[in-house]
Amino acid sequence: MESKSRTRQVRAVLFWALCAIALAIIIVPAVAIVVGIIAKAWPAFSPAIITHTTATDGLQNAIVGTLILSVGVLLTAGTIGVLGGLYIAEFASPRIGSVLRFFSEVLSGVPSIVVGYVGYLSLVVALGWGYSVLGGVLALGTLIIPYIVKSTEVAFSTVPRSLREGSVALGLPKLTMIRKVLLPPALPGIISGLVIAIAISTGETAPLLFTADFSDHNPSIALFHNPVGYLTGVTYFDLQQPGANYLALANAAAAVTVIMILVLIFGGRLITARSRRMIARMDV
Amino acid sequence: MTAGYLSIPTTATAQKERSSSAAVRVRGLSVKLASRTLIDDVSVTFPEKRITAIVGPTGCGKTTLLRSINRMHDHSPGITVSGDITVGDTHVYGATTHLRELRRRVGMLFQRANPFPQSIEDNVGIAPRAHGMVSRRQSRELVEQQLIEVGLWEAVKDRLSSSPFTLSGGQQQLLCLARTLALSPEVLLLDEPTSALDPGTTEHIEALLKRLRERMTILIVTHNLSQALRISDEVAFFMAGKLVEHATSNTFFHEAADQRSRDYVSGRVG
Ligand SMILES: Nc1ncnc2c1ncn2[C@@H]1O[C@H](COP(=O)(O)OP(=O)(O)OP(=O)(O)O)[C@@H](O)[C@H]1O
Ligand SMILES: [Mg+2]
Repeated sequence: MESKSRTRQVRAVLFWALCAIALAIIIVPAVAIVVGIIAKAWPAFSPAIITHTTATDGLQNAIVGTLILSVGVLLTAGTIGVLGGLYIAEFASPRIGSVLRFFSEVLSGVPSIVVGYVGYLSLVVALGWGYSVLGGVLALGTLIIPYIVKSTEVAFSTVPRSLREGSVALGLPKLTMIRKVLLPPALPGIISGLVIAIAISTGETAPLLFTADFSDHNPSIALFHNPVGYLTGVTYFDLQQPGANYLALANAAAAVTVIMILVLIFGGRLITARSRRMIARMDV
Repeated sequence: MTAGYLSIPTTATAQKERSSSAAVRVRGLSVKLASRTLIDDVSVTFPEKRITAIVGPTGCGKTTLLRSINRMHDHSPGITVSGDITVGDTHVYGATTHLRELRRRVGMLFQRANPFPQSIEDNVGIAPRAHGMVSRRQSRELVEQQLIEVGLWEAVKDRLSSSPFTLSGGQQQLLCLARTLALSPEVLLLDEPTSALDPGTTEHIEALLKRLRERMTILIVTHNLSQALRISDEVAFFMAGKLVEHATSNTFFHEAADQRSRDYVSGRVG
């Protein structure tokens, strides 16, 4: 009796210790990376980063390029991914749904460098686009569409069954049901999926190296034969260059990338929390 | 309190449909889930403008029967329905049956309130607008009329644009009833609508159902025999997917023909 409860106590302590270790493994590297990168980049932060391009030790072209790529990815991959997830959740038969899900999972398992290389062969070479913003957007988009499809599908399929049945019993048209009944509770999940996907794409390098190359000048509007700069590219290229100023710029670019991703994640959480509250209150 | 139903401005056709109600005839209905029989060759007629209580022990197929009448099973994979059901002159499982129109004519209220994540006003107005019965402008009046009908108007008239989730559970169920009634159904299917409600709200809904009986056919599943006794004109008693007895309430509760019915009434079964 006595020893049994002893064993139980030991087990409980062990369990909590393991939980604490797991937690530490998640938190410590995350904090260390963020703090380390920003601390390293601190000396390099100056107004010149925003006012100059990479041709003259600034990051302006890279920041603008990353923003354009992200917005492009949001518009293209976001639209395709959300519609795809909606289709799988609400329209596809179980068989077609599982086929689509399978392909989406395969796509999500393709390494980003392979996506980049395929993009290079098909867009840059075969279609003759050269290096371009559009090619970069498509390669990045291909990479994150599976995430968006998945999060959208989950968001719709976790809407309570009772809401669905209520709509069906009223004879509501399917689109009315989707827009008025399913979308409000699904929206927070869709938005947070989009934000995380965009955050992932912001941190990608390989697909862009193959499809967008890099440019030291600010992006222009030409869609084709028009290389574009981006933050992760600065880190990638400048770390390989000799010289303290290159290293500083590489660090600064890494820090700005991390900050953008953090802003995205916090922003996404804010939007999610707000739309959750809006549904609860619904003061339309 | 009693809202003149006919004072609602509507199109001529909606007006015509409004005044009609329909009997529900069930012939040789069987419902199977894979190889399991949930409803076994049931034939029964639910007369128009009457309240029929559907009773029986848990799992005997009451919900399954209700869901056959507005074809909710269409959306449950694995369930097959055979036999014939008519609502008025319409064959529910006919090849050309207009599903959305069928569901407009056959309203359903669920055991647990399921308000939509829209404003209180839109919850009631959404279906009539979707069916083209009222314009957006007329919808406002219809919403008010329905909320008055179910006795919720005073409580919500100052917060029509707020969320239904701020209402109490009983109020939410009344809102769902108003939402269903807004389509002027000819048949009303109720699946234990008051099982989660307090006695006051239950009494309120029972009084409302007695008024609604004037213009629609009502089927109510209930485990509460005194509720069945209070409000029903007829009782259909089921066991294990089979209809055991269908009789007037008076007969069923006082001189049922089948021994199993008498046992059920006296609390020895179910
Ligand atoms: N989707 C389903 N999957 C599996 N079994 C089901 C399903 N729907 C119904 N059943 C089975 O069919 C039988 C009848 O169920 P039904 O819900 O109609 O009973 P009920 O009379 O409404 O019971 P209760 O009084 O508990 O609500 C039950 O045995 C139930 O287990
Ligand atoms: Mg039931």
